[in-house]
Amino acid sequence: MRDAKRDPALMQAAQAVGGWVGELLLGLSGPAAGAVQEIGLRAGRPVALSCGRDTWFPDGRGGAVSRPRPGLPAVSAGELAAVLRRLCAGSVYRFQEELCEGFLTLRGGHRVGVAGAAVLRGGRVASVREVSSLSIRLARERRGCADGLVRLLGGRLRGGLLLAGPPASGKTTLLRDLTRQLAGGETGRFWRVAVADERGELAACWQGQPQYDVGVCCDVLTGCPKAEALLQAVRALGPDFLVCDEVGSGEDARALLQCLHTGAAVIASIHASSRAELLRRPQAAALLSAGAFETVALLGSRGAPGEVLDWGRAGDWLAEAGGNAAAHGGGGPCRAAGVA
Amino acid sequence: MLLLTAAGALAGLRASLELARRERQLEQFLRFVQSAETEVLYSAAPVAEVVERHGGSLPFLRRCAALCAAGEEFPRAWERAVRETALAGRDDTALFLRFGEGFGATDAEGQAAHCRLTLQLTEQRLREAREARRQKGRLFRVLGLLGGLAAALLLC
Repeated sequence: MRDAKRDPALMQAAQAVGGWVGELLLGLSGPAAGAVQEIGLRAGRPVALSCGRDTWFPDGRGGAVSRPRPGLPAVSAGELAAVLRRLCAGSVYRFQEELCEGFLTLRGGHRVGVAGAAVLRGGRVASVREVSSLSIRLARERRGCADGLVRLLGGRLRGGLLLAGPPASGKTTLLRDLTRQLAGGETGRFWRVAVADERGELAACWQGQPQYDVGVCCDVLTGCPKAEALLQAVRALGPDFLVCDEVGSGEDARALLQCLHTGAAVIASIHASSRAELLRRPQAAALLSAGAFETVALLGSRGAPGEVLDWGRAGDWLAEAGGNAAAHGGGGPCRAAGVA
Repeated sequence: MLLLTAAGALAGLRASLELARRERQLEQFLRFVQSAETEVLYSAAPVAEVVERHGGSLPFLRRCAALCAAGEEFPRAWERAVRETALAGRDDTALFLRFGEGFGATDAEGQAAHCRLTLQLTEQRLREAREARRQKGRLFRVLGLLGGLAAALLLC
C-alpha cells in the first residue's frame, strides 16, 4: 500500500502546511498517497487531492474517497489563513508581491496558488485578503523526461524550440529538464542557459537557490517580467539559450522578437492544445512567422503528460496552415519518458 | 519587632517597585512595537528576526526569540513566551497576546495598522501605569512600613 511518508514531495508540502491539515496529509495511505499532484484547500470545503485525472478527498482516517460526502474533514477560513501564515513562515508581508501575483513558492519548489479578495490600488492588485483557497502544486522533478526530445531534435535545438500543449501537459517539466541537460553538459557541452522564470516555476528559486537541478551553467532571472528578463539576459549574461515558460502576452512576443539574431536560441512554451489552436494565437503566429523557432512540438493532454504528439518545422506548419500542401517535415507521437 | 517592621517595609517597597517595573515593561514594549513597524515596512524582515533583533530588553521577547530559534512556529512561540514569563502586571498580558496573534499575519499595510493600534493601546496603558506609580508608589512604601510597625506593636 502506498504511504504518504514515502513520497518526499507530499511530506515536504504537508510539513509546510502544518496543523491538522498537515497531519491529515502525512497520515494518508492508499491509492491517493504517492500520486498527489495538487492539494486543494478551499474554505468550507473538504481537502481535495488531484492525482492526474482523479480527485480524492481524504476521510481523516488515512484513506480517501472519490466523491465528497458530509463529514469529510473541511478547512475553515480561519484555518486557511493560519495555513497561509505558516507557509509564509509567520511573515505574510514578506510575500506580498508574490501574493499579488497569486502564488508563492515553497522550499522544494512547490507552488501555492492563492485565491481571495483582491485589494486594488490604482487599478492594480495591491494585496490579497480573505483568502478563500490555496492550491499547492507539488514539485516533481522528472530527470531525463526530455531525453526523447533531445534525441529527436538534436542540433535543431540551436534553431529554437516552441513547446505547445494544453494545461498540465508537462510543458514546464520538459522545459526544466531540457534546461538541465543543456546547462549541465549532457548534450555534449555546457551551454550557457538563461531562464526567465517570472513566476518561479522553472527553477523555483528559494532564497536565491534553484530548488530544481537546472544545470551548472544556468542563470535564473526570478520574479522579473518575462519580457524584461529576456532582454536583460541577452544584454548582461550572453546566453546560448534563452528559456521561458508560457509565452502568452503580446509583450512577451515582442521581447522574444527583439532577442532574435542575438546569437541566443529561444526555447519557450505556450498554451495550445492543437496545431490549429496554436496557429490561431496571434503571438504564436507572429513568432513563428518571424523565425523565432525552427521547431515546434505539440505535447499530449493531461492524461499523457510529456508525450510529444506532433512536431515539425515551424515553416512547414505555417505553410500547411496557409493552404500550401507542403510535406510534413515532422513526425508522429514520441513518448518523452513519462512526465506523469 | 525590627524584623516585622522591616518585612512590612520590604513588602511595600516591592509593591512600589512592581509598579515601576510595569511602567518600564510597557516603555520597552512600546519601543519594540515601533521598531517592529519600521522593520516590517522598510526591511521586510521575518517576524522571528524582528523579535530577536529588537526584543533584547524584555524577558518574554527573549524567550520568544529562543523558542523561534528552536523551531517553534511564531504564533505559538509568542503565546508560550507571554504565558510562561513572569510579567509585571498581569493586566497587560491580553495586550501582548493580541499583538502576537496579528504580528506577521497580514500584508505590510495591515501590519502597519496592527502596530499603530497596539502603539495607541500601549501608550494608553503606559499613561495609566505612570499615574498608578505616581499615586500609589509612595503610598505602598509608607503603607508597608506602617503595616509592619502596626503588626510589630500588636504582636509584641
